Amino acid sequence: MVHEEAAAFALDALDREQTEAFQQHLAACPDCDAAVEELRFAAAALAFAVEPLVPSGSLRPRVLDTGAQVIPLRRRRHARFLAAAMVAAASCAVVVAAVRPWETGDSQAGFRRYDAKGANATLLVSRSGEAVLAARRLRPLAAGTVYELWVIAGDRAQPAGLFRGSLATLTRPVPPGATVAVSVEPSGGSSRPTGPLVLRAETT
Amino acid sequence: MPNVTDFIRGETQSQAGSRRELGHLSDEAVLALVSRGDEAALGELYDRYGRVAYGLALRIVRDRSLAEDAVQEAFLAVWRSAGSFLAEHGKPSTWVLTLVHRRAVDLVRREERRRADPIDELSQPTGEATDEEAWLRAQRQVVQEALRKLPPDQREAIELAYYGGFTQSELAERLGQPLGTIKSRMFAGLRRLRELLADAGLELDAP
Repeated sequence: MVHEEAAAFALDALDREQTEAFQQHLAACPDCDAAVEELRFAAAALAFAVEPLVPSGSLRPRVLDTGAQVIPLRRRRHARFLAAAMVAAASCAVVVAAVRPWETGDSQAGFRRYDAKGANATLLVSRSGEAVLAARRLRPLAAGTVYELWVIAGDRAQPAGLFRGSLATLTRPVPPGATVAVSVEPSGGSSRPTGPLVLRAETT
Repeated sequence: MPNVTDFIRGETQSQAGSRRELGHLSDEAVLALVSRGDEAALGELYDRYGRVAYGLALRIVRDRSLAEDAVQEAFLAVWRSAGSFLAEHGKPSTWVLTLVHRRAVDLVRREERRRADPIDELSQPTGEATDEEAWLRAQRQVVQEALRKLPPDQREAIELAYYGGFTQSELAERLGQPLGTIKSRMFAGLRRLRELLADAGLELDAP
């Protein structure tokens, strides 16, 4: 049973106290959580009914400056690997094969690429185990479900993040020889794989 | 085709560079880069949704400076919490515009600036539109048509809440209806809107 306030919440039409109360309810109610996501899509679509306007030219640098101020420098360096991995993963294998970033000697940028079995997907793993999965044309998810990533080493499958789109950054490192797998799980994810396995990629 | 070696060297700082390198990525991919602290990706996301965000914020707060504040604060929230969003939810465009809406509503409630004008009707195109403008215009038409198909009382409740920034309790008072009626109208209307948009095949990602 979906709570009647889900729509008001999606429209930001609750006052502060009601919003907090509903957020607490959401955490415990998967039905409402799924309903809010659907209703949010409709609410956000209302933004597109308004005439888009070009803001003053000073807003873009303001937006970017704020970003620069709140990010620690170390993370920015770390971003290099993922930036390179994302571009390679999101474009095509030709780029990766032609450039072979892991042979450039740049350990920040170096990563290995593995093709997945079971679906058209590519896994990129850095030398320190950071990993990105780029999948193409995964089956659309049923309502109330999500894709969950797993890092399997030995007999143990550990959760490594949830995603719904086509690209995901794993939340835990992938040790050499581990298998990365994706299964369909209820929204919110599971602590061990329970749903059908969508794909797996074995690393070396 | 993107040049990966340039990317590794980090030569993506300029606006033109960000366009060239990131333009082909999906919203999810751009957001994943944002979550890793990539400023060029934040710029790309701003270039995709900044105008819709600003148009929305200005519609709600009715003040250029406040609207810019709402957009800036929303993108700061995107920058800070892109990682946790990616692990949880659906469409990046929905999330970004949800954040913009929330900031704008917060600001307008504080400033007591709310208005309840009807939304602007679709203006006629002047001259040749770029692909992006044409796409936005088409999206706008689809959403406006869907809105027009809603029963008037549902449409009214949704528009006053979303564009006017009124809470459900304020709406009940303003419209002289019980709170339960307002809740039902918003719920039925928003669910119907979702169906109408799905029927129209609406995809809210920038081209």
